[in-house]
Amino acid sequence: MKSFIVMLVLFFTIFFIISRAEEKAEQRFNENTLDKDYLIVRELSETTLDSLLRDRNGKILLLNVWATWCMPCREEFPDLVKLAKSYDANMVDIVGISADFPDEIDSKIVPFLKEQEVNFPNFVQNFEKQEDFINRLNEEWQGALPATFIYDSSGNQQRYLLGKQSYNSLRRAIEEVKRDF
Amino acid sequence: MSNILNPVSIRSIMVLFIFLLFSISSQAGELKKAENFTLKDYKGKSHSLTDYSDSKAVILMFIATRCPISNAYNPRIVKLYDDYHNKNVVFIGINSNKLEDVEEVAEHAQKNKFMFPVLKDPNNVIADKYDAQVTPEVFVLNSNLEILYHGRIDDSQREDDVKTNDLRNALDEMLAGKSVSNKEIKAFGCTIKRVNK
Repeated sequence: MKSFIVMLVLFFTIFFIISRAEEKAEQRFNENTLDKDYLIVRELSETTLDSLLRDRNGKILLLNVWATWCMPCREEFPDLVKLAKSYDANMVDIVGISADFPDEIDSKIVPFLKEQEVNFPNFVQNFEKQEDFINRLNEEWQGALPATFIYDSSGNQQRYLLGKQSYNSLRRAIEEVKRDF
Repeated sequence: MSNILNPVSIRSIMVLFIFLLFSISSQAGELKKAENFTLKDYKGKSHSLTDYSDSKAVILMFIATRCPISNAYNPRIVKLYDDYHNKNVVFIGINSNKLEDVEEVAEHAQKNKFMFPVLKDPNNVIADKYDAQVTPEVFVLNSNLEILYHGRIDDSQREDDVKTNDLRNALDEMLAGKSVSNKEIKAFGCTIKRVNK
């Protein structure tokens, strides 16, 4: 019985230490990924995307996938900037994911973000297989850009919007997710 | 333990297992069927899929004149045509974008030396039927109009970075009499610009 109690105490101690370490790692991760300097573009791997979707902290997430070569994406971007301006960053996260290549961050992505006076964080997609990234966001999505995905505060996808959206349609979709989920 | 796995639940697990096994195997064997259609190419000539029932395969390629990704594939499409059209494989381009009219399609095809017909799909009726969303996006059909392959041409819009030639692999498997191992593979592309309905 005594050894059982010792084992139990030991188990809980180890469990406590591990969970604290994980918590710290997650905190560090959040500080790093959603960087305040919006001209720093990081690569989005599978684990980064998983954490982004998991660590919602009660906030809605709008993910927009775009590319510098995609004309409707470029046309839609000012509406995303306007949208990010209109929402309290403590309520809604707006995050862009560029489908350009990671080696185009300096040559194409950042100049475009600068020109747009971007006010939300952006990543560049760097999954080993493009198809895995597409399917991770939505099985029904064929990969056509732009595409927008809205997640509720628990990280469940509630809206999938294909093609160029307007400020109003994006705002309406966020409000619906806010109201219904 | 014996309470949890009583004979009734074992039986239901077995039934469920057999059902799952059956549904997986029936999915694996079935090919989706494509619909026949008739459209005019940029020269005004009508084409129906049934015109090509003697061919080993018909490749439908949803392409665009203005999409940079689709345009990055033009030389590769020409190369594919050169390598496979003598093997009884038919190539057909389809333009469903509302802003790209038939004159633009003609000019684009001539400029890029496309030797295959490019059809204009007014009001994106065929794109809707096939649920094509992006350019470039290809469908490989056999003579029974079954879809052998659907998706990307290869794995990179940059030709130098291509590691897997998915369309070529599908065609080679089909020509060798094998079943196509990867039947659907997605990739980034431009949205097909549809008319408002």
